[in-house]
Amino acid sequence: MEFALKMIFEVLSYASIMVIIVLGLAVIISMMDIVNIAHAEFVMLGAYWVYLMELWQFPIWLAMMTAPLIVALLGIIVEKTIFRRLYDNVITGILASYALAIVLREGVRSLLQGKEYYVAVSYSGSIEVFGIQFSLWRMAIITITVIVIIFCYLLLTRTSVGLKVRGALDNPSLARTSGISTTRLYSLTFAFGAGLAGLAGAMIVPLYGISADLGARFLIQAFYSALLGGIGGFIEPVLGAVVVGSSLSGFQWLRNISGLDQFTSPVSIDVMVFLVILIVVKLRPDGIFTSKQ
Amino acid sequence: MKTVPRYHITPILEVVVLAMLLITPLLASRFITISLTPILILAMLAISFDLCWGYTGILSFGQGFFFGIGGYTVALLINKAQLLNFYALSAAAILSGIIIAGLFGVFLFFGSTRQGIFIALSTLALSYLGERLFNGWFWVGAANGQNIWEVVSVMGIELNPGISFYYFILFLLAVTYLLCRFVVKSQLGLVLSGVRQNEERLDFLGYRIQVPKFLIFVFAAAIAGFAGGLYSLHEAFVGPTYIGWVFSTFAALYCIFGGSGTLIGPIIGTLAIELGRLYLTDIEEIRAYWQIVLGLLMIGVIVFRPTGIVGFIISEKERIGYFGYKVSKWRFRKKWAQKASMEGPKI
Amino acid sequence: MTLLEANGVYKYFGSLYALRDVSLEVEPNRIFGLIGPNGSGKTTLMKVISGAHYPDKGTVRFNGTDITRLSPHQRSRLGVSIKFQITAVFEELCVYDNLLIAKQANQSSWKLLWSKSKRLLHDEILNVLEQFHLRERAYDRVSDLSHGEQQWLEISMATHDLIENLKFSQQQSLEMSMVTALKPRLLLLDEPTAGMSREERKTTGEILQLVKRSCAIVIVEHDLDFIKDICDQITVLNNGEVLDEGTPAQIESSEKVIEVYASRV
Repeated sequence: MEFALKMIFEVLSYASIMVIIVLGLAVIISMMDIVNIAHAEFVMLGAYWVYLMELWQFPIWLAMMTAPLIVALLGIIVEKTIFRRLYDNVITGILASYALAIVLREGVRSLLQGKEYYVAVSYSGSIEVFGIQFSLWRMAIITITVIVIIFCYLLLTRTSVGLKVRGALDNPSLARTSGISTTRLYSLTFAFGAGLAGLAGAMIVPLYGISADLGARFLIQAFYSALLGGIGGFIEPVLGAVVVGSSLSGFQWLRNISGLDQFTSPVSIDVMVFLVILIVVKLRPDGIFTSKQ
Repeated sequence: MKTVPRYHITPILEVVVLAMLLITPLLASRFITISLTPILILAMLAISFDLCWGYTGILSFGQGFFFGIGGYTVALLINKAQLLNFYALSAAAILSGIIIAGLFGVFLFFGSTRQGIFIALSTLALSYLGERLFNGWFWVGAANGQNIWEVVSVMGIELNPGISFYYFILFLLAVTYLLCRFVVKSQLGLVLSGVRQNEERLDFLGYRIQVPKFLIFVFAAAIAGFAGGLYSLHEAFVGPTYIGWVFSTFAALYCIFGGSGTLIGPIIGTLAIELGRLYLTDIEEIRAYWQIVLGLLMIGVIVFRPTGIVGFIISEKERIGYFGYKVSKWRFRKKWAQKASMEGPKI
Repeated sequence: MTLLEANGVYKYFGSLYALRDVSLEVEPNRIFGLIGPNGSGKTTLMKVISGAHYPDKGTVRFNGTDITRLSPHQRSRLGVSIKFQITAVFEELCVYDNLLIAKQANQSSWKLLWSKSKRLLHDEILNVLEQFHLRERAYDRVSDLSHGEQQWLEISMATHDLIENLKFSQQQSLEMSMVTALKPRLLLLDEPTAGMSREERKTTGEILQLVKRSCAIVIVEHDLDFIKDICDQITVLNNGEVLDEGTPAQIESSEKVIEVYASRV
């Protein structure tokens, strides 16, 4: 029983990370039709910033707060220089983002000299509930994710900015002609998405450490979460992230406890989960949570 | 324009490149020859990317995957089955590409819409997961890969790095090049061009567009697999990194930098970048940042100069080409003369 | 026997109606004009016919088949030739290749790989280009063509299989309607003469007269002179409703129509 609770807790925290990453990714795809492979590297940069701040002996909480902002800033720069020129050509944009990912990844690899580092966080440790140890940090991740979701939801439904965004999401050409400054909106959207990635990176660095390849391991999952859930809305990709994140984490857990670890490696579990996801996405290309119009 | 335009630049470029590649080993050191051989093999990989992207508009991050699988197929057949027949090994490498691309391709191309992104992401996933899988798989050597200790021979030539191997590879590259050129200049190539430009319109004209897309994807994978097999023979090694993103990235980079949609462009691009690496990475600073430089180069070309190096030499019109019937000059003159003599003077 | 029939079509956008109880009939071998002031619903009606929009009420029938809920793709398979608002030819290819790609569509990939049909199709292609005043531009890139020439190319690609040596044909109209029965084709043209010179408009008119012999054509246009010259039948829309319909002569003298056009300067 307590084992199940612990497993659910950890699966939930992993799913939360996926939610934050995918939210940023999906918003950019939905609004601007930009499929940004470098999004994973934005996550990595958020983690890198926290590492740097720790190196420069700034308090961790400051590092966590500023990471999203720094990455958001980078997002604006990247959007203005690269993606703006490729709006009408989605596939070429993908290629360019792929190259950008390489630049960022290898850049950080040089800076880290190819090594991995661990970032100590003073909020680590655990609390005991019903006799089970729950990691404080993972709790924080889940909490922050929920807050972010609620915040985004309110932003979208209660504010004028949110209204514009939803309008642009529903009908991009109409939005453009009715005078909503799409350039500004696009920059802000991209920054927002990038900022979320930075936040995710900052949150996961105590758990995973920092290395140049940190982002890459989330890349494929993130994209398939978005495809699975459905692009073009807010809640659909989030649900997609929950499904994918839970599946990957959950099945790894099951592998550990069921004795299957004799026959299968962690990789093969991942591969099998992905195959299933791939098939589902193929069968329902608009996402499983989208209702057909 | 009433008459068929004739394009001359590309053939000239082809001859020049071929001549240079033929002569170099005779003039340069053995080191150069041995370094050049794998570069020629990588040029095949670049061509395979070009078939998909440059001609058909299919963004595939999976060419590295087929390349690696081809390499593993050859290495495993040699090491586990003691198969040393070059023809059999080649056939196996090519087949590995065809079979996997065939299965994966059916999945990718037939069915839903919004394919472009799905294909790009799925081939990306294929490479990524493939590498991780092979990395942990004991039977194929896991992270250590496969070393090849045996030497394969063909037609009396020993396939050891050296001048004979070089010319053999050059020959294979030339054959591959001509084969690809045949395909992309055929009426099927016209369809591929249409797919790249305006897929929807082709659909409305009555084409089943999935079929040519699928076919070129499988064909490109066959070439990538073949190249992978050759590469493992030359390097006497294959490892999980051959399956992953690294080689997929190189394929894209070489092709785009050289000039996509031209076949000769990928060859030039591969030569330029790899020879660049050979000479420039002697300098310590450059070697450390080489990957970053390549990434920046790629962004630069994509955003600012999408036609690549070859774009400076070959015009857009020549690159697109002409697919219709061309009366050859000799036959035309003969026919005209015949007609004139039959019709008599015009009243 | 009508080729296209729209009955009681209604189309709403939210609380606004773009079309209200619109009906029309198009017969084969006729050019049918659709005119009306800006915002009268012409484009919406075209979209309902082509399948870009589905009507909220009413039906659309093509050659007897109910196509109201069919996708544009399915409609094009039946013979409704989709003409998008942006010219949808292959811009990078030359004119000749555009037609070649249209003509070779029914062949297998294997046959195409061996380029077996190139020689056979050569004369046909040149012939079609001749009919459409594009022979001189055969090997020019479409992007180099004038707007008018691009339109002719589009029309030729939509009707190339119907035009077989028509210039030399002495066939009776009866035989022609047999062709139409076998290969029913509806050509939808949305403002084809926009941006054309007078010469080009004249040529377009000639081309359409040629083409109509084997299909039916519906044109939305602003140029009233053009419509008057070539159409057999005209429907006038205003505010989403049918204002009047009849021959060009009837429409020209229709008081309702004059009023609407006069009141809008």
